[in-house]
Amino acid sequence: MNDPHSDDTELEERLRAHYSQDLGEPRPPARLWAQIMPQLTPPRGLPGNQTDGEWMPSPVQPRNRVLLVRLIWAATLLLVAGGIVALWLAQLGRTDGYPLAHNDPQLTPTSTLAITPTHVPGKVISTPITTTWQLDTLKSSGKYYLYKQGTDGDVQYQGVPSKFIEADALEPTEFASLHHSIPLTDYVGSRIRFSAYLKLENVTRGTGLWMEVLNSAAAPMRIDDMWNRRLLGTRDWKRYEVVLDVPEGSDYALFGVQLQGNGKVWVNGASVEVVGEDVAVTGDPPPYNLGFEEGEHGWSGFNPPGGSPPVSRSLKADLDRGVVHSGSTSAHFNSANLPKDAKVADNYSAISQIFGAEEFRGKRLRFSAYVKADGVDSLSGLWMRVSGMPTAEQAYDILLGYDDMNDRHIRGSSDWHTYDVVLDVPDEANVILMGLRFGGEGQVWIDDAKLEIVGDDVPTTGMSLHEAPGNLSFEAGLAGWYAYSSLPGVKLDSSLAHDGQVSASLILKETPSQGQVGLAQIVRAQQYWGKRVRVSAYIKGWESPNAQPESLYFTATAFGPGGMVRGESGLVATGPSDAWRRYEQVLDVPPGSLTIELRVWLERSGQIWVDDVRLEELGPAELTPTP
Amino acid sequence: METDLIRRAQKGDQDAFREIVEQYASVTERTARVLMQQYSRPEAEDAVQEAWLDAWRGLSRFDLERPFRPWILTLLANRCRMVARKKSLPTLPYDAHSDVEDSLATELYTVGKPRDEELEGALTQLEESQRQVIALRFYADLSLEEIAEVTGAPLGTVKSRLHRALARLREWLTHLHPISEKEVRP
Repeated sequence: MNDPHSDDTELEERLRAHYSQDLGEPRPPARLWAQIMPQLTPPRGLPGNQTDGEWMPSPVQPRNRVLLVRLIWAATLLLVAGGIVALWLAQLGRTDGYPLAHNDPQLTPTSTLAITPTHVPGKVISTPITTTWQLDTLKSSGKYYLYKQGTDGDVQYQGVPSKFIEADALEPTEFASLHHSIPLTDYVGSRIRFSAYLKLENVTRGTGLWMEVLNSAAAPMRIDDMWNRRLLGTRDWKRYEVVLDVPEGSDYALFGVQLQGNGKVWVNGASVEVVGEDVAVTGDPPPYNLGFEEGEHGWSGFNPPGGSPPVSRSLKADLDRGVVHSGSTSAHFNSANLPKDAKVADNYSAISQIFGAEEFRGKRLRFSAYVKADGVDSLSGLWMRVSGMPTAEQAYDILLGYDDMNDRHIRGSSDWHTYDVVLDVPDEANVILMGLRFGGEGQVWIDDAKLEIVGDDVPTTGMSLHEAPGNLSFEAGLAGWYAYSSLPGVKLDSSLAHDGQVSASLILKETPSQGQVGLAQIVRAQQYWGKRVRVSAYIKGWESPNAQPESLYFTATAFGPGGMVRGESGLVATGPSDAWRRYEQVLDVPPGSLTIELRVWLERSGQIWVDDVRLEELGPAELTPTP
Repeated sequence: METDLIRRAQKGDQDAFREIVEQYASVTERTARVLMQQYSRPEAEDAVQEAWLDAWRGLSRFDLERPFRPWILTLLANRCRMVARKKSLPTLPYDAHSDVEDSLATELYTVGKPRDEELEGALTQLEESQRQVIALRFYADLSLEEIAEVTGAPLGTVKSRLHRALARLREWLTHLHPISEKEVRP
C-alpha cells in the first residue's frame, strides 16, 4: 500500500494542478490591461503624489537634488565611520554590552560583520536588532496570530526599546516565537553562542531563547530551545544563552525567543558569536527525546497535551503516562481518538523526527524502539527515510533509502517488543526522517527508541541504494528489492520461473482503486551518466475476473537535481497474458543523476510473476534532457 | 529589450507599458491571489491593478540597472498589505481559534470540485503560512527570495517553512497514497 518513492516531481505537478484549480487561472493579460489603461495618467516623470504613499517616497524635485546629494554623502561618511567603529568593537569580542546597531543580516552575505571567515572565539557573527523580529509560524503551535507583539518604548534595556510577545487568554499549550536567521557557511566547524536579554511577566508555561543550526535542505543539525531550563513567572532583565556546534553540512541558523502559554516576555540585546570549546554546548545532536520523557518535545505528529482537539482530519499521537516500557511516558495512538469526520479505514497517522544526514554519511543506521499493540488491524510499524534534497526550493527529494516494515508490519495485539529498521546513509544524503506510523483501527504505543550506528555485519532492511543492480532473477530471494504492497503482497514462487529456480510473485486481491503491490530497486546512477540504458523484465500475466485495463506498470526512472527522467510510459500491459512476456524501457540517463529506480507494480487486482530483470547499457545517450 | 521597454514607458509610451504589464500579468495576478486568499477575488484583482498603477506612476524613479520583476512584486505586496490593513479580518476570539483553522482550511481547500482530495487532505495538515509559501512557490512560481520579499519573512524562514511543509506533504502522501495512473506517465 505504501509507495516509498512518492515521485516528488509529481508532487510539484500535483501542487500546481491543485492550485490552478483552487485559485484559478489569472485574468488574461489583455483584460488586466483593459482595466489599467483608462486609469493611466501621463507619467509624472516626476511629480507623483502617491495617493496612499506610505511606501513610495515623494518624488525628488530637481531643485532639491544638490541638497540630497550632499545629504547622501554625509550619511555615507557617517556610515563608513560607524562601520569601522563597529568592526573594531566586534573584534574586541564585546559580547556582554548592548549590541552594535546595524541592519539585520539576511541569508545573503550582506552583513558587514559576517564577511571575515574566522572562528576566533569572541568573533561576533551578528548582533541583530531584536525590534525587527516578527512573529512567525515556523516555531509556533499554529495560533501564533493570537499573540500580541510590539516594540515597547517604556521597557528599555540600556536605553533601547524592547520587542515583546504577549498573550493573556490562550490555552497553555499555545506558543509562538519571534526569530531571525543568519548564514553559517563561514562558521562550519566552530561553536556559536546566541545570547540575549529577557524580561518576563507572569509567564505561565515557559519562555526562553532557541536556536537551530540547519543544513542546506533546512533539516536541523543542532537544536536547543531551552525547554529543559525554561523560564517562568516574573523576572527582571537577565542575559541567557544557547550554545551549539556548527557541524559539517551546516548552512544557516534560526534563532529567537519563544513564549509558551500566557504571559509577556521582552527581548533585547541579542548577539550571535563564536565561542571556544571551553564553553559547553547546551544542545546535542538529534534525534531527541527518544524515550518521550520530555513529552512530545522534538517530535511532530502529537496533540498538544491537554489542549484543543485536533483541527485536522488525521489522528495525532498523545502521551501515555500509564502504559510505558520504561520511565514514566510513552507515545500512544488510539483510533478511538480519530476526529469525528475521519474514517477509520482511511486512518494513517505518524510521529516523526527530521534531521540532517551529513554526520551519518557513509554509516549504517539502526532505528529501533519498543512497540506495544492492541487490536491493530492495518499496517503499522517503525519507518525511516533517507533522502537527498538538491535544494530546499524543490518539491521533491531523491529517495536513497526507505523502510516502513511493510514486509513485517505490526498487527493484532502484542506486548512490548523491540523492532528495528536498518538503512545505509549514502554520501548524497542530507535528510533523515524516522518515526512510527499507525494505520487503521486499534492502539499502538512506542517507547525507548534508539538510533545507533551499526557495522556491516548488521543487514539492512527495506530498500537501500545499491552500487549496481543485483539479484535480478530473485535467486537470492527478495534481497536488494523493496516490496511494497497491499495484502497479500509479494512472495517468491519456486514453481514458476523464467530464469533460474524462482520468480517473484506479486499478488493483489480485489481491492478498491487504491490497491497496489510492487517491487523496486534503486541503483547509483553515476556509472550510467550520459548513457542510454535498457531495463527489461519478463512478466507473466495476471488473473482477475474483473481485470481492468491499465493495471500493470514497469518503469525505469533517473532521479537527479534537475528532476526525474522516465523511460517512456510506465504502462506496459492492459490485459492478462498466460505466457512470459518481455517488457522493456529505454532511458537516457542525464549526467548528474543520483539514482536509477527500477520498479514493477500491479494495480487493482490479480497476480503477476516477475523474473529475469536486466539493466543494460546501449551506448551514449542520444538525448541528454536535463529538465 | 526589457530595459528598452521600460525606458520607453518612462517617457510615457503606453504601448511599451502594456508589453511590460502583459509580460508580468500572470505572476502578479497569481501572487495577489495567494497573498489575498482570505479576501475576495475582486479585491485581489484590485490590488494587482493598483500595483500596476503604482508602477506607472513610479516608473520615472525605477533604476534601469535593476531587474523589473522584484520591483513590481514589491509594489504588489505593499498594495496587498494596504488592502489587508484597510479591511482587517474579523478579530479572532481567543476561545474559538481551533475552529478558525478548520474553517480556513475548509474554505481554502474545498471550494469547487476538488480532484486531488489526497493532496488537499495533506495540505490541511499544514499551517496557513506553510500553505501560503507552497502556493507562492508552485502557483505563483516565485523564487525563495521573491517569497521572502512579498511575505516580509527572512529568507531562512521561508526556506525552512517551505522545506518543512514539503516534508510533511511527502510524509503524508508517501504513506497514504499509492501511485495513481497520472503519476506514472512521463
